Amino acid sequence: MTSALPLVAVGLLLLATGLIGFYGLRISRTTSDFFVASRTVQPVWNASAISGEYLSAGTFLGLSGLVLLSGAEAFWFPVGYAAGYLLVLLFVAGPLRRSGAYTIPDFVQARLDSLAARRVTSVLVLVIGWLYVVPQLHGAALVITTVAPVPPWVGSVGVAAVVSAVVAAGGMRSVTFVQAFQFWVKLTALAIPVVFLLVVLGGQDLALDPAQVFPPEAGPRSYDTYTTVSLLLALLLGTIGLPHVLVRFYTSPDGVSARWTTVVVIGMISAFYMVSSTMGLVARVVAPDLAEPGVADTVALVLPSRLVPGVGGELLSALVIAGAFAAFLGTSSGLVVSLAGVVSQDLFGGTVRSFRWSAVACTIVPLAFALVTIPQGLVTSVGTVFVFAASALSPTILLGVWWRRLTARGAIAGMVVGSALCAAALLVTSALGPGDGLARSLLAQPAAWTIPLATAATVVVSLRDRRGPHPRTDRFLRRLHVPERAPER
Amino acid sequence: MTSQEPPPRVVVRSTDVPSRAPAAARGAAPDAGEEAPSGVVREGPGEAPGPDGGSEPAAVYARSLARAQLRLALACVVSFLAVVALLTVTMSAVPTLGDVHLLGVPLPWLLHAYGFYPVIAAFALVFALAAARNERRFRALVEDE
Repeated sequence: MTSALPLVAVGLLLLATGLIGFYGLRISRTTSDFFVASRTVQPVWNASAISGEYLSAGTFLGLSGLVLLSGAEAFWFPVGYAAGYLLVLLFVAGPLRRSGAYTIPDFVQARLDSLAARRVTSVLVLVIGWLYVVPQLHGAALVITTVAPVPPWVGSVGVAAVVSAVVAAGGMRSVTFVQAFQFWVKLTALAIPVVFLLVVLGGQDLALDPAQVFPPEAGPRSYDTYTTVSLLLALLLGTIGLPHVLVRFYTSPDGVSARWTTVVVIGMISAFYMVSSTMGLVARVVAPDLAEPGVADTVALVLPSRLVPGVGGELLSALVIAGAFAAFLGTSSGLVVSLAGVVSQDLFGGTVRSFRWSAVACTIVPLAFALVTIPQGLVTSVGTVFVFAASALSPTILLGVWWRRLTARGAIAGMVVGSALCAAALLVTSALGPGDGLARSLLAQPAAWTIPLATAATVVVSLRDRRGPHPRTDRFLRRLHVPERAPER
Repeated sequence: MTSQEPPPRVVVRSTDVPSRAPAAARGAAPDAGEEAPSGVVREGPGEAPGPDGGSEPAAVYARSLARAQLRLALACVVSFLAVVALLTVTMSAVPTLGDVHLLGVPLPWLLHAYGFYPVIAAFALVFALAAARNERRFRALVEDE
């Protein structure tokens, strides 16, 4: 894979990204264009952008890698990510849109009227966002080394540079266009090769031994109940706590369209996950030799040239590589937009100028982190972010929307308890290294106890808070749940 | 509901986004109402009456709408989890399923790779329709006043 084709493909993608970003720059003129695209983005358009931003390196490359490496268990990740959007739809999509806030910290402050709660939320949002950008940059490093004879950091630095430039230049509006475009790039970049691979495989007479390629001990029969339940809980609730997911609903015109947008998103990401899962199944048939940690995540890039000889295979590989870069760029730019929004509003009063500088700062921190850490499996690193988000922010957001007795002290207590316990469990796990046993499972997949404890802390402290809920609570909650338009249809 | 005939006329108006023409706003006209400073969520125009939540019937209807939406969401999530559990048990605990192969892939693997998404999409669709129906009911009630 030393031909110039992949570089041309990535170059074209960057060019298209730049052009679309520039087009966005020309029409984003107001402050609110910068932050929320003036809330005029239509459902299908917005859904493409949401999907484009949600589908990260984790599911584009990491899913097929993990299916190859550890079997059917890997399918829990995309199932959980898609079901996470179902929970977003059920509990927060409409209400959060109607709250009229720009970011999660804005929502928390508006709901609880507490600057302290806002600050805690902002810090957690930043941590979650940074943790999420890191695997994207790792993915870029991994891909660039399979494409060209350059050191891995070139990929990370390149993606970070493009992301901060696009975000700083165009803000939310341009990023919406960029991401909508990148969703379709990602889908086609994986779907076309998968179709080719299936056709080629169908043509060959494979003497396939299912017991070896899809052994039952790597299949659904092998799942550990606690690990599965805990992971699913984290993935289901984690999406609610992701900073770049919620900021997107603020770009829908109203609560009803926010809900329909989410339905379309679920359809779009499900289609993508099915394609990506197919890639994983093909990988098990064709490339069992790549089933090694660190290498497995490149399998989607390698498969086309293995199965389709000559220029055809190279073209398909180039397509996958372009799609992978779309994944890194899409997710990272979405995250950086929401992080820059939080930083510029918390520290600098939310001017466009400060938004631009915050965008640069919010890319440099995870870049530094990515450069000094060793890439883990891409799906699992992204999964870890979901565990943290689900423990730290989701209880506060859910209770904020649905429970009127929530107080600022309760919210702070819950966020501190959830994030501290979850961080401690994950740090202990990484310090101990791999191991077996119930205690290790509890630490490695902490969501099943950190989320309930965080929720309990929130509820108990809120109930014991002598100040009680803020007097404006009822009015605010009414605003969240009452449809905003006069009867029209 | 109508038997008590509460005297005050209820006005429930949009609490957000004054513009009702997104396509027009998209072009150039910046939506003045949207330029709110950060962190401060504006109070909507229809929020004025009453010290703590507006005129009585509207507040009552709003609370019952919120409860209805919560019941709906909880019902959806519980039944969704039940279906997920059922599917998981089927694919992992029915041994004969592993002997069925489709294009060389055992059925449990296929179920796990593709089986959950239709379920998720179906629940999403049902919820969106039912939530919209709850809101229509609420509007009809408010209209009746």
